[in-house]
Amino acid sequence: MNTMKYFLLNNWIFISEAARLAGRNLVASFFWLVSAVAGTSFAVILMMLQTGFKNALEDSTTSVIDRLDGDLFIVSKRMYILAIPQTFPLRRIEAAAGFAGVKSAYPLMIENRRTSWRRSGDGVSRRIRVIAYPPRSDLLDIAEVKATRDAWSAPETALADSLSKPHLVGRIHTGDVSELSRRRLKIVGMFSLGTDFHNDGTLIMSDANLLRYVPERAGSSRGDDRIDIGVIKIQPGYRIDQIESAIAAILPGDVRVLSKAEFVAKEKRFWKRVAPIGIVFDIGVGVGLIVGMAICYQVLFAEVSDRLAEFATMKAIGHTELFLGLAVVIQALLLAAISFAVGLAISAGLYRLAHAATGLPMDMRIGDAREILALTIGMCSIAGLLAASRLKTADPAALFK
Amino acid sequence: MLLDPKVQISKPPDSFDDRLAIDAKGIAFSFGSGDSRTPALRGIDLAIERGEIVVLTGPSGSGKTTFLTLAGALRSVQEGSLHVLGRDLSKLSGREQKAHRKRIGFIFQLHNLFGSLKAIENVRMAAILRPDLEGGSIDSRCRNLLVELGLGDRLNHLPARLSGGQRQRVAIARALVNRPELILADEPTASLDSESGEIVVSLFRKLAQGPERTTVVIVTHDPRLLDRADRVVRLVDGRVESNTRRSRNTVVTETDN
Repeated sequence: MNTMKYFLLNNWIFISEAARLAGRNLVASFFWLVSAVAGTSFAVILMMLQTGFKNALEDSTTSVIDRLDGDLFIVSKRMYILAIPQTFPLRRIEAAAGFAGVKSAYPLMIENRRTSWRRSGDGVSRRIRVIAYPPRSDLLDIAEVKATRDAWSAPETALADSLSKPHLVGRIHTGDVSELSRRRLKIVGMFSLGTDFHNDGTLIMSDANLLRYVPERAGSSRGDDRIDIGVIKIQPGYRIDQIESAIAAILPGDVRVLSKAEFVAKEKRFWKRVAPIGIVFDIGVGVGLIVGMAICYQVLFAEVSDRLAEFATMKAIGHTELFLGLAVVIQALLLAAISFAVGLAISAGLYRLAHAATGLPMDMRIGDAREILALTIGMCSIAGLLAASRLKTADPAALFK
Repeated sequence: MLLDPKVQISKPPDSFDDRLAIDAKGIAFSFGSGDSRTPALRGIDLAIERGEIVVLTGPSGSGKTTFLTLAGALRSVQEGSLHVLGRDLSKLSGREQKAHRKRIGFIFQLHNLFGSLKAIENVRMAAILRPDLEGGSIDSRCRNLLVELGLGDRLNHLPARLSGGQRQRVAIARALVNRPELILADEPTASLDSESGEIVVSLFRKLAQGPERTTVVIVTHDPRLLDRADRVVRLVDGRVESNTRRSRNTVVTETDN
């Protein structure tokens, strides 16, 4: 730290002069500036979009879990991701419901393989996800859903997600009457949840309703009904981890008990590490970084080449290559800052467009923005250092012709 | 101190005639190697005193600019001995050469100003190499010199908004702002009108006759400079053909090749 301070103090006049030269060279040519910022911003946008889609993938897969109002969750042991439901008998949660410390235990069903929504416009049927649970349980913590529970408790009624992909499941409005799996269904309200990479739209209905549309889920008795998640609420004063262990101990081996954090982590782990799609987005960020470095290097190299005689003159009068290289690197850093700001603004707009078009949760996170800023700075710094190597060819002796 | 190659201003212990700014003995220099080796200088002996204004003239390819690059420590000496401002250039490392160049003012045929910097900022780029010089702050030194060169109303102009002559005067100011002990100039008045040329020549004369006795070596064919020089050295084919002291109308040496 002291060495850095000593360096800065003793070289301040050179650093400030290099910064002045860098800033002036950056804005000297409007055309060059626009080209350089456009190229570098393109890389920033590429990295932003890849990160945005990766986050959308992760967030969308846990959006239902995030909104579930429960402390513990019983799921099938065979279930590895929520998008591919694996069912188990309802009686598993009935066993948990009688456990000391358990306030409530409700079933939740997610059906997306046997439920087809008939678009009201052209009559084409598309698969749609249906989330079903007892309306009074308020399992989904979504205000519109809670507020309209009486309406969607009635037979052959459901709520529709306003963020469903309109080009796939059509535009759905309150009051629409169409068919779900060839049975009449009336939309009695709307809510906002969002889609994911597996589901194009979502309906919410009562568990009793779903059994009418998908009777295959109904068992010979109520306890044999096939459900996907058991949502358990714990009474105040009880430790969740202790009850989790206790319930897990009494339940048969076809199910497992997860806390909310474990449930979310399990889902994200699959998309991040097991499914290649998470890695694909990481590769996309890497490609953006390499493309940005190449573009940044090209524009800076051309810039240094255009001013080679001036730089050679500076070398002739006694300036070091380090000083001149510093000017090039500072110019690269300034380019990084401007390009990041431009890229961030354009990406924010593209995030909105993508969200509107797909219903995916495209949120700009501060941590991600910071990470991409750091990558942009690193990318431009390396490009600047590479471009500065061109200064070695600036021969002051060649200035005397 | 990485950004600034500190200049060693104190005189070195070389045995050297302190009256001389340049003392060249048997300087030979060739470009290329092997079959493509092309001699540029073939044994130059030339002593230039401090405070002298010397014009180097001669046909194209005679070795004038090669001599300037050697004297300016822009190239390394291959053969012979070359002392400049008391330093034996053959003994200087690359870093010492850079430091040594801060004692020299270079004026090139092309101005090579940064188009992005204002006139005063271009001069400032050189001035920061000697922030400790007397004569005011860095900016005031730059400003005063530009005013002296008739550019007082052009300080904040970008080169694109200056005439060719004005740009060259900015380049001259950049070369002179650190009060160099030696000025090496390549056709410094080529793009100047007669009035501007006269300002520059007068400035050279003032520096040469001033307390620091600045030495000026100019490669030129400009008759205005030939007339005002103390000496005219004519090089032909890498050798000194004539060495004429103009003020006394005496020939110091003359060689027929």
